[in-house]
Amino acid sequence: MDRPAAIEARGLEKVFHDPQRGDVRAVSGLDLLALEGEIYGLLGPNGAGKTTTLRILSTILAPTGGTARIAGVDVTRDPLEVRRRIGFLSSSTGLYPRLTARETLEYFGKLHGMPPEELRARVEELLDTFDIRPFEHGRCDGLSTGQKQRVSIARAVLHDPPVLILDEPTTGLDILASSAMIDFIHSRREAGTCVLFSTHILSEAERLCDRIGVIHAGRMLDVGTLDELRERTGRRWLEDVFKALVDSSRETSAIASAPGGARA
Amino acid sequence: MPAPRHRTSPFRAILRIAKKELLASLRDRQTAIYTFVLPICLYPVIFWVAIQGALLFQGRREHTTVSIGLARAADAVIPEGLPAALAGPLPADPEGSGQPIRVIEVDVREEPATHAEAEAWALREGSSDADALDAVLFLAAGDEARAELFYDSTESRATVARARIEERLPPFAQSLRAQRAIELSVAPDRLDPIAIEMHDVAPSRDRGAVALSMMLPMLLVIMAVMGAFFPAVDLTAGEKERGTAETTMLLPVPRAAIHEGKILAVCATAVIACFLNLLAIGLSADHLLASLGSAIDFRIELPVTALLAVAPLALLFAFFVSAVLTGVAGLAASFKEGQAMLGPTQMLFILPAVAGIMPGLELSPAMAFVPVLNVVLAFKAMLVGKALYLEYALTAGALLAYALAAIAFAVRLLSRESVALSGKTLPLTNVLRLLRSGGAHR
Amino acid sequence: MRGQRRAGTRAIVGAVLGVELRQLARDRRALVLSVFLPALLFPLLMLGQGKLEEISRDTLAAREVNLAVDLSLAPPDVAERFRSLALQRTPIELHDKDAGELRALYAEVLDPADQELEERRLVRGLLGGTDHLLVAARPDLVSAGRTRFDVYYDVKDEVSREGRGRVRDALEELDAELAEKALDDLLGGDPGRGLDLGLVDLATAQDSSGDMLGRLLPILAVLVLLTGGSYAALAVFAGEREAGTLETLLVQPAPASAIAFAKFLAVLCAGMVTLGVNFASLAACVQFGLADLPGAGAGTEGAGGAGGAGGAGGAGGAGGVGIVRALGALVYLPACILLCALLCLVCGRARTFREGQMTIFPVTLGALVPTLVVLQPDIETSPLLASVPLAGAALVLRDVLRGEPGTWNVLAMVVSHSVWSWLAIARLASILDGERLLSGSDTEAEKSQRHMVSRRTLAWGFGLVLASYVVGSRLQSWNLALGTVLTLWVLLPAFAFATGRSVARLSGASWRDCLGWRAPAPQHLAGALLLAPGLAWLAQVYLPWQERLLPLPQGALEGSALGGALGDWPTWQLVLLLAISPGICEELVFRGPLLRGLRADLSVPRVLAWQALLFAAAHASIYRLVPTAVLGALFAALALRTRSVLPSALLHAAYNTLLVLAAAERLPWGEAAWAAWLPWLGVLGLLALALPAHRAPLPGPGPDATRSLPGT
Repeated sequence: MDRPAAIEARGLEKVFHDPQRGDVRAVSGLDLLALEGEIYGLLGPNGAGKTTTLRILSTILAPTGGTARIAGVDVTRDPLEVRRRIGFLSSSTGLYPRLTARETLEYFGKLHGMPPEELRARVEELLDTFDIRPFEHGRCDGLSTGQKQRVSIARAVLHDPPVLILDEPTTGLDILASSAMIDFIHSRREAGTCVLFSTHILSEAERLCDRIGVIHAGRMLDVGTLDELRERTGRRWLEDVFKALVDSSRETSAIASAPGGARA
Repeated sequence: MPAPRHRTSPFRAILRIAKKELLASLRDRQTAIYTFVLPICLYPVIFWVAIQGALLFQGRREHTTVSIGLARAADAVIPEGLPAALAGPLPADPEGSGQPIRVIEVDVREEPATHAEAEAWALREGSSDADALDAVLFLAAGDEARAELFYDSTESRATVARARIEERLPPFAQSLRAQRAIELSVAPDRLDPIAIEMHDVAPSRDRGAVALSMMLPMLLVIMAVMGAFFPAVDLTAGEKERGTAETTMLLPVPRAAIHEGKILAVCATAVIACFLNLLAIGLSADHLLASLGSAIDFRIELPVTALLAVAPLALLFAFFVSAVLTGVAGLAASFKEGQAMLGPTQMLFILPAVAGIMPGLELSPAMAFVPVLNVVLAFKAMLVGKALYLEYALTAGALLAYALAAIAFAVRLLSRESVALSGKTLPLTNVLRLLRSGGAHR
Repeated sequence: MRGQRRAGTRAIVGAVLGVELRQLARDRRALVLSVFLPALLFPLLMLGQGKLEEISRDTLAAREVNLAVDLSLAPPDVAERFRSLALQRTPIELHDKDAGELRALYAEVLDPADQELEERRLVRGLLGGTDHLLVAARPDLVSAGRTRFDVYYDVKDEVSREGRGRVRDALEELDAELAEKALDDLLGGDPGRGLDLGLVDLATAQDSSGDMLGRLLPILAVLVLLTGGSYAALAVFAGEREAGTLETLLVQPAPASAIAFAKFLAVLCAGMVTLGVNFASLAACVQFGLADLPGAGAGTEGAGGAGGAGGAGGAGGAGGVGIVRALGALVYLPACILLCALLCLVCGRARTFREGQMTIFPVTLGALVPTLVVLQPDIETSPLLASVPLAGAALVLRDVLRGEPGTWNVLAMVVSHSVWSWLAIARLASILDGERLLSGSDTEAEKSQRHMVSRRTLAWGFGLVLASYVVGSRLQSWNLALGTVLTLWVLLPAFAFATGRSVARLSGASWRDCLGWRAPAPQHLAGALLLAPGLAWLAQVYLPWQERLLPLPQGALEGSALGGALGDWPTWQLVLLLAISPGICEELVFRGPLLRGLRADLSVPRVLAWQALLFAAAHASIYRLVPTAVLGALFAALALRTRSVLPSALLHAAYNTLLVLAAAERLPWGEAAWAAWLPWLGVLGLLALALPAHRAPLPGPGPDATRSLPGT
């Protein structure tokens, strides 16, 4: 490994207590390693644990077991530091409806402790980069979806974080906006940011990721570049790769849980 | 990897967050109207309605014609001049120019009647409404000489008739006595051996303060609670509804700071709303009294010193209320549910406040530790200028403790993952469990 | 053929109603909070209130009162008797003091304020911090043989107030005793004997309970109905709209009116269930003696038992009034229907749950205030009064519970409330129009953009109303002349200026234009002037008629500052301040920028309606409501017709002058016979106004009223 690790997770576990269903293991024994300047894709169907994993890594949730470090900082021991080093974006990370776009950026900047002149300069830069200037004084609840997306992205990168975590970033976006998001993710790699994003759209994973981690039922089934995965499963299309991995994992767990079988 | 260069101190973060929440709240037109414009407009309107209503009723009352029957027992005599005294203006005001002239018709029955007959006469429903009498005055003589007024308290006109007779009969009796005194060359005022005069040594301004102390303490609490209600729901459950809960959790400030900032914003709104309400009431009440004229011999002035004295206590109380309401509202997943939850929680504050204005309850060292009640009693005492310094100090201390405890409670509750990210509203009964559970909180 | 089946309206209503009720019932939390929780609060409130009153009464009655007395100058037997009477009112202690200095104070001639201060100081000194009040007796200066008792207390001290009550009792007893003795000694008996009033309440226990209930029930019904009904109305209208399911419903082949009616029925059901549950709780409270129903005092102390013991004896509540009468309370049903219809109307317009929720409070207030009329025991119901929404229903309910329902009253109430309800429900159906709902937020924003000018103008208008009520009436009660000048010549023009600037900015017109200061055609000006006598005459005809319906309390006018002014001020001052100034200044603001702003967006009838409302509200008096509303519309129409503020100002001033002079009885022509012909000048005036003049009308809402939205 020639590049330092940006995101490291070992044996991550998250158990939810649902009054109706009992204990739910959303994530169990998950290992993840993403390097600086790498685009790492988390692939899996809905309910696989992608969102939970990302939320743990961005300190929104606390893991019930295992460790995770972002840019060298432990998420359980110093979540505040972690938050200073990441930018997080998801479809449920909304904008404050009654603030204007500019005010939103200034607010986050102030909370990051940026001094006023630097903040102003940075805000101007972002307004230009993401073409927010035409509507910078409009309240966020009056913006169109595409405009909101641009403001959200600007907010996420305002403090120039070394790690960017995106949860299904293209959900609900039309073709143009989707394409813009993909271009943006590419651009981050140029800048040396580690981008971890989750998706269930295989074509995105193919286009963007340096490495792909396949998640299913809270466990990481396999990790590698696209070619490595293809090689290991002997399939070509990513869909088939995925299905093969799922099937083999089922076999493994069937063997493991059969009486007298090897315990995993 | 370069470490971030800047940090905000948690204290500054709290202020910034509070400022942003306040700004966002005020920008919502509905919140602004409800919290600010409504109190200012409401009281003048209420008082206006009260004044107009009073005028209307008074007018109607005076123009009601009431019929009274006058009867006597066999051995009694109907004094001459009684029918005229009942029907006409008060003797003290023969022209009736300053007093409203009441219209009474008196139907005198000359033949003697028995007690039962008089009663029957009163009960009789006439063939038309004009026939029926509203009340009957029956004069009996002998040992038990008295004037019995038969009336039906559930009839509107009978009560009017009764009020008017009660007003007219004693002065008439007095005039009979005065007349006899003059006949016997006795000075009439010898019949009146005692004169009673009440002197209130409290300055007239304080009289107004007494009236205020009946209502204002309770109003203070109620307004603080109502002022905090809306923002509390807006900033917690409302955020979940708007989809910005997650965004807030990502802020590079300690979680506790976020929640404290929200509580601060709620508190600020409560204080502003409270202040505006008090101001509006004070101005309107003064105006109300002014327009009622010289009938009232005191003026209500805004008791500025008392208000300044109670301000720190009120502030601590506002923090207390804001923290509790914000914490509870955090359990809700949507605005509607949040409001539903806060409804009963409000009562916890309002009921003791109402109890506090009962006469007989006073601020004592023991009372100073009862939440809500202590603020009400302290304000009541401050308004009338009592120097209960020990009790005030104890109250302040207790309020501070409660406020801090409530803030800790709210922050702890809101930090629970199960609360902060829940898509469903959690029932109030879970509060204890949530507080105790070792669930992660950062 | 597929898709050709039709469901009958009744079936549709039934289906929608069933679904709504089921959904409401499944929202357990809201159900508990809105329907059942209030039912639990009753016992708590009643128990609590009763208990608290008991506690506070007992606490005060048990307080030790320390009475300082100086009876040295009173006749010994009087002093002795007073002492014993006072001591009967335990717990009380008497301490003898010397109030000589205090007495000496009255012999001095001091400034009243200084005297008050001295008095206070001396009394405080005498009380010395242990005693709560002071009683000093001395011979009366005016009439010999009379003893004067001066009682000094401090209203701020609760115990002092309690002591005052006890001392007053004792003194009154003493007075009665001594007076009787004096009458016997001096007059040989009391000629006024036999005139002691004893009250015999002929009301039956049933009637008394009914009376009490009648005062309580309407208010309770309104509050409870609105709590339970609002949760249903919000869920069924605003909540559905927010959830997006309303659109789905409206696209079904069911007429919107049927859907609206079904929803209304659901709200009504919810309301009635809440009502039922809460009344059951109330009845239970009363039955178990938990309730000491309030209001037992007034009117029943003579009979004592019947009302006050109502709770304990079970005479109160449903048992007390008898089943028949209790069932008669169903007469309140039309009001319940009306309330639910109003709720539906309000929530139907709301776009979100929150918006609907906001309006519940004003609706509650608006429904409660007319119902409070029932607290006045001596208001008699008449058919006209019974037709007033909610107030009339409350009065009729009270009458029914009292046992004397007037047939005409009940009929009037039922008919009028049914009409109001029907109107509300009809309106509801139009609100649920699919197109209006489906048009979405963009068009709403557009519409509000379109009416921006008139909305801003209305905001200014109401601001003016509030300001002139709060500030203006305060100034006038401080000093009528100066206050009137300030209000009319400073406040109103300030508002005219501000509103004019705002309207000018929003509508892009010139400032001067907005103020309406254009030269009118001379024939219009003359016409306006000629209308004045006729208008004044109409007022003189109308006002006595209104007096019969809404009588003014006697002495209200004469005793007021205005009455005084009419009597005292010189004629020129009267005319200038009370006639001409209002005429000019009011027209300046109402028919100037306010009219202009309203007309920019609204049609003429709407403009006139708003003008009438604002003008009437600004005068803030029920007695002048109708006249000022009519005048407001009239002056507005005149200003629109003549395109200028000046004719209406002239008419207003002239009209005011005539009325003021008539009220002050200073008409220059007095009772001259020819004056009766003056009103006919109005006909000439109308003719003159009908003549055309070449003036541009005020710009109204044009066909191209859409403005571009910012930032699209």
